[in-house]
Amino acid sequence: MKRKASSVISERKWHGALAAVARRAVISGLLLSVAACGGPAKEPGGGGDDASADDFVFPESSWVPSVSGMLSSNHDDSSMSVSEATLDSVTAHVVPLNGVGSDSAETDGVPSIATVSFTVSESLGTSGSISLIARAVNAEEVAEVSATARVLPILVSLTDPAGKEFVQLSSQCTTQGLYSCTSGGNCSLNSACAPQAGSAFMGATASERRSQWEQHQELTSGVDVGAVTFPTCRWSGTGNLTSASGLGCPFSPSDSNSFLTSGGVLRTGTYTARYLLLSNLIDTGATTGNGALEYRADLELTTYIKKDSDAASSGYRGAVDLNVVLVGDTNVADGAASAGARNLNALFQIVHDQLSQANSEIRLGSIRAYDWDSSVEASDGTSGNSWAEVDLELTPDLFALGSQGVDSATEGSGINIFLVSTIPYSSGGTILGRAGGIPGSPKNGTLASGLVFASFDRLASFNPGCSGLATCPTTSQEADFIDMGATITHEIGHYLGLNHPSESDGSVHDAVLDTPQCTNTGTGGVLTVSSCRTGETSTHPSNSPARTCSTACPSYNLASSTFCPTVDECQFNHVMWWTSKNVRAGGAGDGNLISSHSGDIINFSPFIR
Amino acid sequence: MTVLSRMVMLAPLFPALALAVTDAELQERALEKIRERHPSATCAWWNAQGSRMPRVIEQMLESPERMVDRFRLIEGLGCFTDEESVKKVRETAEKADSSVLRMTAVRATARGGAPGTAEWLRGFLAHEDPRTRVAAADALQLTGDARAPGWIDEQAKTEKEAWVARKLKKAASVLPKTPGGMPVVVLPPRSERLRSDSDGQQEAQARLEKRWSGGWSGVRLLRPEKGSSLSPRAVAVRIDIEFKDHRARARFEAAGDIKTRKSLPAAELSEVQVVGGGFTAIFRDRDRVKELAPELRVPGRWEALRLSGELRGSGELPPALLFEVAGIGDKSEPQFWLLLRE
Repeated sequence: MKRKASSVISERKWHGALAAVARRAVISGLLLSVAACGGPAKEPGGGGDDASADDFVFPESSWVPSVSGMLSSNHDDSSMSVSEATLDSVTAHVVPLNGVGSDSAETDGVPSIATVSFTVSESLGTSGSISLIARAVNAEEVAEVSATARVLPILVSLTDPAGKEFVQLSSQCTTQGLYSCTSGGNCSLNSACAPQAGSAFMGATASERRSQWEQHQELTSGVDVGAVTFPTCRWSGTGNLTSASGLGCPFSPSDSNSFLTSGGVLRTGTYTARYLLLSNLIDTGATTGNGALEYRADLELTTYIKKDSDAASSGYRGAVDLNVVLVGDTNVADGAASAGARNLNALFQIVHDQLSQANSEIRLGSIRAYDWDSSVEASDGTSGNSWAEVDLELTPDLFALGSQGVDSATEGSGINIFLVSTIPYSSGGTILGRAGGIPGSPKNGTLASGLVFASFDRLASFNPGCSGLATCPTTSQEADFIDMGATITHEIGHYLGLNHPSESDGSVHDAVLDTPQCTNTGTGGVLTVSSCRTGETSTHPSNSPARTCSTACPSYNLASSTFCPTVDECQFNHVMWWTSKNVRAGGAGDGNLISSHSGDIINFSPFIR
Repeated sequence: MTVLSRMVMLAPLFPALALAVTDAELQERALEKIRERHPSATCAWWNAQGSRMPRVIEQMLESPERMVDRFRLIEGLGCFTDEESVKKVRETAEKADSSVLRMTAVRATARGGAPGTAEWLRGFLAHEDPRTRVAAADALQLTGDARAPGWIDEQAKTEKEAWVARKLKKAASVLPKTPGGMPVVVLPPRSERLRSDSDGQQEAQARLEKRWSGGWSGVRLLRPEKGSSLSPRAVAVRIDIEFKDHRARARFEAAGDIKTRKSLPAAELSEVQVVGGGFTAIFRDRDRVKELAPELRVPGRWEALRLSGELRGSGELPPALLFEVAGIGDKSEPQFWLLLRE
């Protein structure tokens, strides 16, 4: 691992953040059906082959992380491995937002769906997974249209060696497009285009399945990478796999129609993925069903094949590593101060403790801490101070740039966390934190390669009750600090693949069997602790007798600090609750639960090793 | 009918009672909003709570339970333009001992855009704290004041901190931002689209030097949280036109980092019309106006802009002209294509 002194670092410039995608290895369109089969696999943690030896590395932080229970031996080395392979890129025509794409070649011999294949050569075990990280590269033609123009790789099909289709988009997607647009450019989501019941993208309704499919590919966030991990669930029973309402898991090991073998594992053999290179350009040449645009781009697909023979619920199943970057002079100085270091340790102790709860069964393996202050400049001339106040809309750029500064050996295994001072948002106000994607990208250098959190310049001044102490117990912590820890866990949850149990308006839910749903919004039109206590319509399915939140937690009283943090019928007690929790200094407050099936989903992530 | 709505109906008869209930309810609403992890409280939301909300916010600011509460309450108060609210936010910025709070208040002043905000913000461009200088530049741009780019640019020239100068220059080159989402760009009909097949510069010039008209594009927002529609986005157009000796010097600039920044060094414009969102402006060469940006800023939501007029250029002309449009939800600004037809 490269380490450089700050004084040395400051004299050097970063290589281009996106130099990694500069390679152009276009496969002829004529070869698309057999393109990119396999590819050179790399050892876990081997890093990307696109990072040169002289790539910039942030200097090591003065803060030396110390979290009780965080050990490199927490990694499940004995039974788990993750292999990474970046396949040869495939050229396809870019499709407008209201287009559909086609396997047939256009006039220039290039189709508008990019097809790639890869091989799983050995059994992945019952906890094994496949993650597909797709990027659209070499899209200069589209970039010339508008600085706002983007190309987003969208997975429209994945078939396993037995021919089972994981995505199962409805036929309307290929006849009408993802969006319907008028010649005047008025567009609306084509609700008829959605994964069908039985898809890996689950949901009780078509709109929920559509939401799952879109969210997991960052379609609506406009970043340049699509990250999807299969399996997307792991539970048995309760619902027919093809039922629209049963939330049956298509990866249920006990169902004959499962995507898994009878042994409960993903099949070995050749998988074929098909991607639309969808742009945010709207073609007004026709009302719906447009063909491809004349522009082309390349699909670059990286696979992370995770082999893990551990059975679920068999104790701790692995660990996650973090790269924590202190951004800006103030945060760097705070990290060097004893109080700052103490608080940082306490902060990630919260994260560790929440992640290692029984249902998720993962721990922190290690934290590599870096400093990015004013003496460290990127290739574009920006220093850490330039990013200390990062507008929400620019956080993807922070991820793309900053992820190039962490140790390249951690690519794919370390989650990049940037601690900035504030995250202003011009129209919505100060943001506490944000995850680059659901799930996030194991590849560095993408717009989804990290998470960012606001410290409010308080790393060294949080928790005055712990002044002079070597450690800071929960009972002496401020509410803001405790909430910051929970926010980090929450965003890591997103990064590992979890959605909010219910979105803020209560209309879309996470399609996880054992998380409660709430549909009752409060006066502000969003779900609140109060509204979900009084009007929750769905209960935790595994608890018997079934209880609503209000019956399970009848004495909840914010004024008197009476909470019920372990009651899992209450959605606000789950760590993925869509908004902040009620929490008091000293630790009393709402819970940060991770449901059992949510824990299973997390454990399929390639970051958990 | 809920208890709350009954009380609201009783308000005219029992103002004191209703007021107390309303304040408590407003406080609860505010608290729910400011505690959101990803706040959704836009100025439209704050203003919709009514004229009592600023006073409720001020009460809450007296003893905020949480640090973040203070920041977000200030941001909410910044949405109101009554004298007391404006004074409170400005005082917070002027007296804050925390740079984070100061920056929050500075940015908050631009949200409501009370009269005199731009002038007040200008003073912070020279603040001793470099981060505050950047925040002031961002806030100035949010005001949409046409003088802002000039002020920021002026400060950038004398700025000693390199990273601040860089941010100031960037801020000076972009137009105000409005609520986010994924911006989409509407391509014009294929029959009218300027293609890049004019690969010879001479051909491109010949094409541009002819009369042109038409060309529009709508920029809309894809709102992921709703996932159901593309809504028009508020945008503003800036076209810097300077008339000299009955000849126009026009700069059609692309925003941000786009590589195709172009200018027309000696283009001649006449009878230029800009139409959009119920807005029409006609400029003749006799109108010696150095800076037309305020007049050209389209204030409301609109979906399309149409330009017509005559352009006779000389010198090296680009194959396409991009108009700068204020953007949201994206690192770079959306642009318009100016389509050129023979």
